[in-house]
Amino acid sequence: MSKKKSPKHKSGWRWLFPVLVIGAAALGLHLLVLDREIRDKFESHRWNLPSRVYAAPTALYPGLAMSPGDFEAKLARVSYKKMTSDPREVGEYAVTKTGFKVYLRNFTYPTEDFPGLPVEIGFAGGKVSSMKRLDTGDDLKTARIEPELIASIFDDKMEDRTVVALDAIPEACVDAVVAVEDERFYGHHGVDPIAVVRAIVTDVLHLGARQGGSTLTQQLVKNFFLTSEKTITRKLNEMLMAALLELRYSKDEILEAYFNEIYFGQKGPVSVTGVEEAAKFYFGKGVSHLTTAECATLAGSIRLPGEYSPHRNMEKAIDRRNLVLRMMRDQKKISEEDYQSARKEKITLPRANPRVFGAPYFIDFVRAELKENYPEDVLKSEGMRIFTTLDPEAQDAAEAAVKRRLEEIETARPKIKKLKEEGENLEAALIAVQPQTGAVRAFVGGRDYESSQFDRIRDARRQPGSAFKPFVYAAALRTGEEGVEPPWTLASSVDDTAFSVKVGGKPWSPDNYDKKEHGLVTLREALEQSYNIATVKIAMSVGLEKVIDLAREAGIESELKPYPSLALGAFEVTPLELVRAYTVFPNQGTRTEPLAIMNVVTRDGVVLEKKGFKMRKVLSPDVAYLMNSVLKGVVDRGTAAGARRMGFTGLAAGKTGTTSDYKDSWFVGYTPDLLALAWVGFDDNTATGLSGASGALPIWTDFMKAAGSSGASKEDFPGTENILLVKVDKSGHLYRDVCGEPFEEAFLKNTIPTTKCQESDGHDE
Amino acid sequence: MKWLSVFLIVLSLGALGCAGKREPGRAKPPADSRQAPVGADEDELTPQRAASNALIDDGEKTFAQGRYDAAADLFQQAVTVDPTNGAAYYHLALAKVRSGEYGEAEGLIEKADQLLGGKAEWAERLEELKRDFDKNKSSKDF
Repeated sequence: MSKKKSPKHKSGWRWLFPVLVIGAAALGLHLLVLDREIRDKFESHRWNLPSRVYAAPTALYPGLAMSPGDFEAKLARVSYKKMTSDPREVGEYAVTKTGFKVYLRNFTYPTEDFPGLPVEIGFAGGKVSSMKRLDTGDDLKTARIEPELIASIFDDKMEDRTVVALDAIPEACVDAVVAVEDERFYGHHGVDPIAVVRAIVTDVLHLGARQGGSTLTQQLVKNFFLTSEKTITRKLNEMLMAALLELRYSKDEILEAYFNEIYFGQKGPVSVTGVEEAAKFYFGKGVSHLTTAECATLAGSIRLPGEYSPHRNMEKAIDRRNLVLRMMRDQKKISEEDYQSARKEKITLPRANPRVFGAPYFIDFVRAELKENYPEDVLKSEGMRIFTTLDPEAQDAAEAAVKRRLEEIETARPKIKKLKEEGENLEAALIAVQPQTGAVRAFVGGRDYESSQFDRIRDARRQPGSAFKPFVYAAALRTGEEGVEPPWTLASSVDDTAFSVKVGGKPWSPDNYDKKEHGLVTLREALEQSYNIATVKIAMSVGLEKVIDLAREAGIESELKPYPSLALGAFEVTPLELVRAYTVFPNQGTRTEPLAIMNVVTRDGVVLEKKGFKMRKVLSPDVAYLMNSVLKGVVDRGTAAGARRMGFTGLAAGKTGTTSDYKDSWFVGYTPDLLALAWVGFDDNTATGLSGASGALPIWTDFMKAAGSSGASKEDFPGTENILLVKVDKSGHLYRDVCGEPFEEAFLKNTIPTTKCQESDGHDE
Repeated sequence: MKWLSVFLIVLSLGALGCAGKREPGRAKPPADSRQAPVGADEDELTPQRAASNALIDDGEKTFAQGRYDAAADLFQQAVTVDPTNGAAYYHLALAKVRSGEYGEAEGLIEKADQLLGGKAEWAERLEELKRDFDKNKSSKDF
C-alpha cells in the first residue's frame, strides 16, 4: 500500500511547490508594496494641516479702558480656565478682590516668543489699574494675551490638528495611553498575540464588551492607510503593515505619529485630531501642560471619543479616567499616592471653545488676499498661521448690531417684512478700521453668510449718495491753501435755492431731501444738514475736476465723471473704497489702506509674508481738522443727531447717505480711534424707504457703543497750530455782541473773515 | 553688485550715525515748548502713550541686535496702541528703511514728520531718516 501511494504523494508535492513559490513571491511583492506605502507616508511625515487665521493679540497696559467683565470675557474667548485657587498652570486664572490672577500662556507672534507668565492684573474705574508679575513681583508696563483663533481653513477631511513632538508630550500621557490601549507596546513587534487571542476568545464567547486587540501600531496603521471596514483581508493587511512599521521605525517614532494621528472626537463639523488639539479642546492648554489626571482623561476617551468626552458626559469621562488611572497604578506607572490624588482631581473644562468658522466674510477677504500667492490646496494642507488685524469683540459687536437692527426694521416696516416673506432679504454691511493704520477691526459682508456669501463690503457697487459729500467740502476747504480768492471756509455763504444746469443738453436741477429751499446758508450748515442744492453749487464753484482729484487721492477708484450729480454721490463705489477714502479725516489728512493680514507664517515658524501699514498724505492736517469739525456737527446737531438720541455720547463725526428712491442707506462715522461704515439696502436695488439716519445709523450706533468707546472719551480730534477758533454769527461774519448767538468756528489762519456781522434784526428763525 | 556695496556702506554709516546720537535710555523728547495748538494734547503721557513707549523700548533693543523685521513688529504694535505717537512712526519707518521696505517707509516718514515735525529735538533725526531713505531708495532704483 505504501509503495503504491508514495508516487501519488510525490506528484502532489511537485504540484504544490510552484504554488508555494508563486504564493511566497506574491506575498513578498505585496510586502514590498506595503513597505513602500508605509515609508512614503511615514517619511514624508506630513499631515495635511489646516491653516489657521488668528485675530490681533490683545495688548494690556495700565490705564487701558477695559472693565473686569470684558477682561474675563476675553479670557473665556481664548479658553482660559477659571480656578477657585491661584492659577498654577498656563491658561488658568482666578478672580481676586481687585482683579485677576492669570497665568498667561506662552505664544509666538508672529516670530517673537512671548513667555507664559503668572501675572496679577488690578482693575479700578473701568480701567486696568495695575499689572505685576507674580513670580518676580515686578511691575509690568505691557503684557499680551495670545491672538484668538478666528477660523481654520480645512481640506475635505476637516481634521483639526496641531503636530507636536514626542518630547513635548508628558510621560504621564504616554503611560496612560499605553496602559489602556496597549500595555505590552514596548514588548511586541507590532502585533500582540496575547491581545489577539484574548480578543478572539472574548468575541467568540460573547464575554462582555468587544475588545479590539489592536496595538497602538495597528491603530496607527488603520488610521493612516486603511478604511474602517471589518474584513479579514483588511485585518491581515493591518497586521502585516504594523509588523513592517515596527521593523522600520523605533517605538518612539511610532508613538509620536500615533499621538498626532489619533482621533479625539468632534468639534462641530470638525474632527479633533492629535493629542495637542485634544488637550486644547478639553483642557484649554497645550499637551505639555497636562496633569496625570488630564492625560488619563484623554487616554480614556480614545476608545469611544463621543461617549467618554467630558464635554458630552462628565460622569462617564471621570469613571473612564479613573479606570485608566487604576490601570496605570496596577502597571506601576504611578504610585498609589499619585493615583489617589489624581482620582480626586476635578475636570475643569475651558469656558468657551474657540470658534471654528468665525467672521466668515472676513475670512473670505483674507483668503482672497492670500490667493494671489498661495493656492487654495496649500492653504488647506500646509498648516500656515495667518495673523490678522481683526478685533474679535468688535466683530461680535458688528454682527450683533447688523442682526438686531435689521430684524427691528423688518418688524417695524410692513413693506420690508412682506418682501422678506417673499424671499427678499434686506441686507446690511459693516466694516470698521483703525483709521491711522487701516487695521480692519470688524468686517460683516452681509447679514447671514449661510444664505448669501456675496460680500457687500468688497463687491457691492452702490451709489454713496450724500456720504460722498465730504469730498466736495474738503475740496472746497482746500481752496484756502491754494490761494484761491475768495477761499471757501466753513463760514462761507452759499445760496440753497433751486437752480437748473444743462447736463448732456438736458436741464438738471437738484432738490433737497426735505423738498425745501433754505436760502443763504453757511458751508457748515449745508453739510451738517446735507443740503443737496447748496452742495452742487459748491462743487461746481470749486470745480468738479478738483472734487474728482481729491476723491481719487483719497482712494476712490471707481469711475467718477465731472457731472454735477457727482457731488450728490451718483457714481457707484464699494463700501471698501469709501471707508478707505474716509480714513483721511480721522487720520489728519493721511489715507491708509485697509489692512487685514499682518503676517503669514509657515508651520515651522518661517515668515512668508509681512504686511505693514500703507499710508499716503492727501489733505493737510488743517483741512482734515476743519472736516472733522463740521462732520462732528453732523452727529451733534445735523442729520446724524439720531446717534445721540440712541445714547452715543462720546466724540464722533460722520456723514449719512441716502440715495434716490431710498435704495441705499449709509452712515460713515468715526471717533479718533475707530472708523466704521454701515450700509443697508436690497441687493437688487429695491427701494427700502430707509434714510441713512433710519437704516444704517442705528447699526453704526449700536456697534460704536459696544466697540468704539476708548476714542470717544477724547474731547476733540487732533488740532493744529494753523487752526484758529473765531466767533462768528450765523451768517458767518465776525461776531459782535449785537449779532444774536455767536458760534465758535474753526478757520485756517489765513482765511479768517474780515467783515463784521450786521446787527441782528431780531427775526431769527 | 556695485549698488549693493553702496547700499551696505550707507546702511552701516546710517547705523553708526544712529548709534552715536542715541541718548541714554529712551530718546523721548522733552515736552513741546510751543503754544498748544487747537484741541491738541499730543504730548500728554496717556496710558496709551506709556504703553506705546514701552513697546518702542522693546523694539529698540531688538533693533540694536540688527533684527529689523522683529523690531518692526514691535514698532507696529507701538503705533497700533497709540496711533498718535510720532516716535512710534519714526522708529517703524527706520526699521522699514533698514529692511528695505521703502514702499511702506515713505508714508510712515510723512506721518512721523507730521507728528514730530515741529519739534526741534526730533528735527535732526527726522532729517537723517529722510536722507537715509532717499539715498537707499535711489540706490535701489538703479
